[in-house]
Amino acid sequence: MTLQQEATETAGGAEPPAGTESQVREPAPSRRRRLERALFVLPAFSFQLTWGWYPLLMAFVISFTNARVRGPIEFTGLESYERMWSDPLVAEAFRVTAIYAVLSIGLTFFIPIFVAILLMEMPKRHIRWMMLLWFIPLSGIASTLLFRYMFNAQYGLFQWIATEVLGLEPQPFLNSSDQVLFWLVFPGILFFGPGLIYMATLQGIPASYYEAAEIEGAGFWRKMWTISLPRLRPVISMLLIFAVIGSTQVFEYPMIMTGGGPGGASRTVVMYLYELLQNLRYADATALGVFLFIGTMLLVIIQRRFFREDPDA
Amino acid sequence: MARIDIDHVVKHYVDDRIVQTNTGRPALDDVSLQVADGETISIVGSSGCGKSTLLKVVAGIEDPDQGRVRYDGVDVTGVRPQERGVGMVFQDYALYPSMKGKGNLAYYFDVHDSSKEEAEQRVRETAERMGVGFDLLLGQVPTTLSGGEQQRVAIARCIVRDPPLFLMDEPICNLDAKLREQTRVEIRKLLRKFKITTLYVTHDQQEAIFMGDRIVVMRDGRIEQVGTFDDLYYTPASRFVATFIGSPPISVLPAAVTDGRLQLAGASWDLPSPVRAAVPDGPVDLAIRPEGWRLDEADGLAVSVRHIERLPTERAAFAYGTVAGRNVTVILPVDHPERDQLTATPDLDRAYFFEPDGERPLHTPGVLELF
Repeated sequence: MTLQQEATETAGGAEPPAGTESQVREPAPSRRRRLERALFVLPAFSFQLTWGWYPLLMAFVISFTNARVRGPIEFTGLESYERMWSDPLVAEAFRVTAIYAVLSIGLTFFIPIFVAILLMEMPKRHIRWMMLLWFIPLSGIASTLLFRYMFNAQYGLFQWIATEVLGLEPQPFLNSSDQVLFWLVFPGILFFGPGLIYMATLQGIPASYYEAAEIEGAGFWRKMWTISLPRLRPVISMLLIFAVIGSTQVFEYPMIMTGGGPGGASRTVVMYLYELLQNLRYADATALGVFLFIGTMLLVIIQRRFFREDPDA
Repeated sequence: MARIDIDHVVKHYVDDRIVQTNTGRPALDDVSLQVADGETISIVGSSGCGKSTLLKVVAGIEDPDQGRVRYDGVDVTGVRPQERGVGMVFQDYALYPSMKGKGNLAYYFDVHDSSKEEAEQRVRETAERMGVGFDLLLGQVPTTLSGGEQQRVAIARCIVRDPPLFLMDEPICNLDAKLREQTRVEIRKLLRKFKITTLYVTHDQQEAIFMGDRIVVMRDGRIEQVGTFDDLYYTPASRFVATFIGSPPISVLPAAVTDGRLQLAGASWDLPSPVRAAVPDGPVDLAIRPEGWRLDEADGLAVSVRHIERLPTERAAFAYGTVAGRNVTVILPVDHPERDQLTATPDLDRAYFFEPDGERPLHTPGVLELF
């Protein structure tokens, strides 16, 4: 219950900081103006506070306690962190997540860059149809469910392609602990999500750049290196952050497709976190969340360093 | 240095855009043009007339559907732009954004696997040729350069490799008026200095006159006329050229000829004999340039003046007004009193006659023997 008190205190503290901040920036606005500004800022600020910063802060706090449904709650220091650190299932979940992230970023993030560049070389009237085709299947959970049926080992479409069209042995697909992560990522290649954004960016590059390069004797690869990729760079940088965050925190998609199976081979960190919550191990779950947060943060920092010198900035 | 032959070129754009803009009309419709070695040709026309397309066909960026392009008599139709070795300056400069000025200049040598030293030396030489302060631009990325500076780098990028042919697609129309004036002079100086065969596309006739040894007027994918400014101004091949060239534009007034006398808005004059031979009796369109009027004569027309624009440097003023409901422009002495009525007589020796509502000229005054 102390927690709730803390919550109301922090939420109530929203107004004064907003007011003081505007005071610092502008030379003496009128009282009424200051009040107006504070009022405009207040809704967004309090929303951010209650749904953004407060849970984040509380997750940190809870991870240092033995939080449970009943009974007194005490601070237990790093106990839950130690427990999570030595939990083999946590290590396994991180391993699965890492493989998933690498596969997903490699196959659904980097490949589309080159596919998009190649597509832009096609006649413009074909590009129009291609973009349309890729737009159509973009829908979240419904297409995920559809893909679950397509992957079905007995009567799925992919099994039919494997056995009837390609003449292979029946494939286990999602039932194989070796293949499951690849097949989870596979539909993402077809969806071509970031590819559309790349194509939109590429279309925004003035044709004269390519014409100038052609006149100077540049071929396809050199045009790609010196014009397309540098122009895509800011977009790639931004989308890569989203891709890193999205793939390290992936949850609903493998949850629907496999539920973490077979034998935990597709159980990601967030899925394991979800299991911990179902078992009412709040402190352990939040400690795991903090681990994931730190890991993701590190990846993003590395990524930012890598993309720091931006020619267009 | 090269001689360019453009031989009956036809180019259609068929549905090759993401948004369909197929009008069914060819962008270039049987265009032929000969450019002599070292000559500068300006190409003017309103937007969409095909002037940029013509440039792209010459550069090889676009392939013509029919016709041939020859450099020095060698057929280069279908040869990729990479192998033609031409230099092109674009309206938006098209400097490679990820490279500094120097990288932009060295790009060609980079592509052609030349040695670092050679590239280095050529860049240095070009910087010297481009004049004062150009070195400073080499160390900067294009986004930090002003329009004029970017344009200098773009031109340097072309001349760094001594192209046989220079193509310029409205290179200075993105600059502000003052800079445009300055750069225009600079480009002309460079062109004279290097004697590079040049095609210069612009929509600004002043620029075209200034740049070109000869001027090409294009309209709807066709060449209307090729010639010096005097040719175009005094002997236009069509009504379009007559109205397009000259600023303020020529005034066109519907008139009639009966028994060798020109009837217009209640007044009438005897036609001079060379005109009488060319213009038959009946309706005719009389076209008069601003300087083709005589003022304050007894048989003059009443011009109601809308406003007067004074040009002190020219020691003249333009009076914009109407005669019988048609817009006319009359040149006045700069100290002409400000009145809302003028009496002006068309100088029929310097008048143009066109068939009524047609393009064909019946009589043009011909180039004046001034000296």
